[in-house]
Amino acid sequence: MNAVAFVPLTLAGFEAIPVVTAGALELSLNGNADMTVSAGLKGYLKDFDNEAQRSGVRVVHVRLGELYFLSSSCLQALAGWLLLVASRSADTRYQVSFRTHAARDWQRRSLEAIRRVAPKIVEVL
Amino acid sequence: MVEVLSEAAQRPGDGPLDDGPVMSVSFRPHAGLLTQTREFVSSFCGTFVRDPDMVFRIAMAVHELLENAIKYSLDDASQVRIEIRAGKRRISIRTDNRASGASIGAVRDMIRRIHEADDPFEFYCNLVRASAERDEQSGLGLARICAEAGLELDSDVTGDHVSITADAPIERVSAL
Repeated sequence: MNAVAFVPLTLAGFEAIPVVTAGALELSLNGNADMTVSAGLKGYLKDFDNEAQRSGVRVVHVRLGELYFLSSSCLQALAGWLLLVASRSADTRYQVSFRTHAARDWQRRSLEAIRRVAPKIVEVL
Repeated sequence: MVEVLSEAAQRPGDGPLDDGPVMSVSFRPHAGLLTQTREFVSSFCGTFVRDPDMVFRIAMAVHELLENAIKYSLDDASQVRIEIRAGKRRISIRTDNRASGASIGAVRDMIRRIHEADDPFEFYCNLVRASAERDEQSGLGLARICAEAGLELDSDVTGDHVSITADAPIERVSAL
């Protein structure tokens, strides 16, 4: 896996940072994801998915420890990404594991609706 | 324009307020101020509501209503009013703005569908899935307020002005 191929996304008040470590791929979503972020996030996830597919990634760990808010427009961006990945055959798609913040109950609540979009590939921890 | 009225601050030590708002904020919504507004509401509500998750639910509802007001307003004359009535153990959030007939119809239709749903969360999950298959506006905000925040929604239309109210009882309110 080529770490250089995965680039970060930096917007006002929000960033997505991919990290490649020992064959695993992590994506940290940090800050406030509101309507000013949604278009950029949607485009970024398409590029991220293309690179993950090209690299043969099997699991993406999405870290939400520093994510303070996720608006419905950004929920839609995440749901679109997951539906795209889940639409592929089992041997060409990857799993997505969300690591939530223990003290932020809303993350598990919000992610449950997203998990149901693609239950075969998504887990929420 | 931002206007803040805090009766709690004006009448310290008077005890629980039974009439009138504890806080009323009105302003013109702006996309660049969404996060600051949500954080302000969250900070203020945190002084009245003990449950941090309830504070988040209130702030989330405010955020989603603001996004709707910004997206669908016909002009820059939108006004968002947030009102807290802690004396009655309720919170009420209201947005007012001008909108097209199509937008107003869509809002009323969505609220009707939410009211008719047997399970608001299941209804919301179905909307999330449908939104994942398209590129246009998510259309999730109102259903999310009901499903995730547990607030009740209502709308009022006069001409091309639409008001949306999100309202809920607050279980745990600290003494004022």
